[in-house]
Amino acid sequence: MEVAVERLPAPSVSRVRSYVKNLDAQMEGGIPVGSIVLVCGRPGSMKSSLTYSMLHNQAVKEGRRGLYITLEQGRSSLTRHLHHIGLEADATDKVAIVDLSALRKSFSDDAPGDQVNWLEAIVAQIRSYKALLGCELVAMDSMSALYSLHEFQNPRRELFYFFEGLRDLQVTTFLISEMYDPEKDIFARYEVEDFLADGVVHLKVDRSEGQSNLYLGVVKMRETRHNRNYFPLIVDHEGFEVVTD
Amino acid sequence: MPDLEAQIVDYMRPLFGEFAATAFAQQKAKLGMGEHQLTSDQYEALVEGIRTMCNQVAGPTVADRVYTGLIALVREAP
Repeated sequence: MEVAVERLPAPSVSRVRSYVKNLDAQMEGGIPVGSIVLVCGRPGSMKSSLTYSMLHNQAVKEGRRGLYITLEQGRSSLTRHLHHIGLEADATDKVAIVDLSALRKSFSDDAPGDQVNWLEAIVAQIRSYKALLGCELVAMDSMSALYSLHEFQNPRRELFYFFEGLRDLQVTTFLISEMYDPEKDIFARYEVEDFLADGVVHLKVDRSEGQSNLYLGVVKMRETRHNRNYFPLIVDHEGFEVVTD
Repeated sequence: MPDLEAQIVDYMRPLFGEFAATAFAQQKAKLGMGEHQLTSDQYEALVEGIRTMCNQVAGPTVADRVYTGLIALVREAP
């Protein structure tokens, strides 16, 4: 007897649109919900702006609540910078910018300090924020700032549990990561973060012939067939756009 | 009302995390409130001060939400 084998469609994955013009079409419509994505690049590559714009657009256009945790840049400095690229943080109350740098500065003398396991504390705090604010998207700016607080004994092991902790929260998370080596594409300090993350978005600055051009590449995105090219990235008052032609 | 103070610190914890107890103590000191028993009016002034701190950390939306919860705690306290 011949048995007809039905080809079942792949289970559909809910996705978060990046609202970077032309980019979502390069990755099956967006980032899988619940992913942990590293947004990495060298200083000045617009990591914070791009990440905030994703949260902002998700809030304004889809009503998804977001949480942007800044560990280094102050809240007012960040909102002023966002204003310059046409993003008004006050335009929505659905994205909370939580300035942990203000707390660090205010309580530097009385801070709990070295006895705190900052990796665990941040996960616990995001869990609390999720309960308080109901956020579906979280950004943490930046991993370098977090690393400056946390004293690692075994980075590989501790980062594994940090990522697992974030994954258990069932929110889509963006971790902003500074790249320091000018010669190599090392996406984060301990070189395991890109293995642990579900996605890696790399912002590259090409400085040549007196010009500085930005490129965006999706290096990795689990559960997604994505284009691996680096595309020129443009930002103006209408938002971010990659040039795919 | 030490129980009330513990409740206030617990309520601050989601936003202030590890800094909740320190933030509470610092706010009390800033308003010149010592270890003595606070009156209801003093607790309300303390909650206003915490609202200002929340505003600096997380903006007005979150500050208002925390304030609403804290003021209810203070007013419902026995």
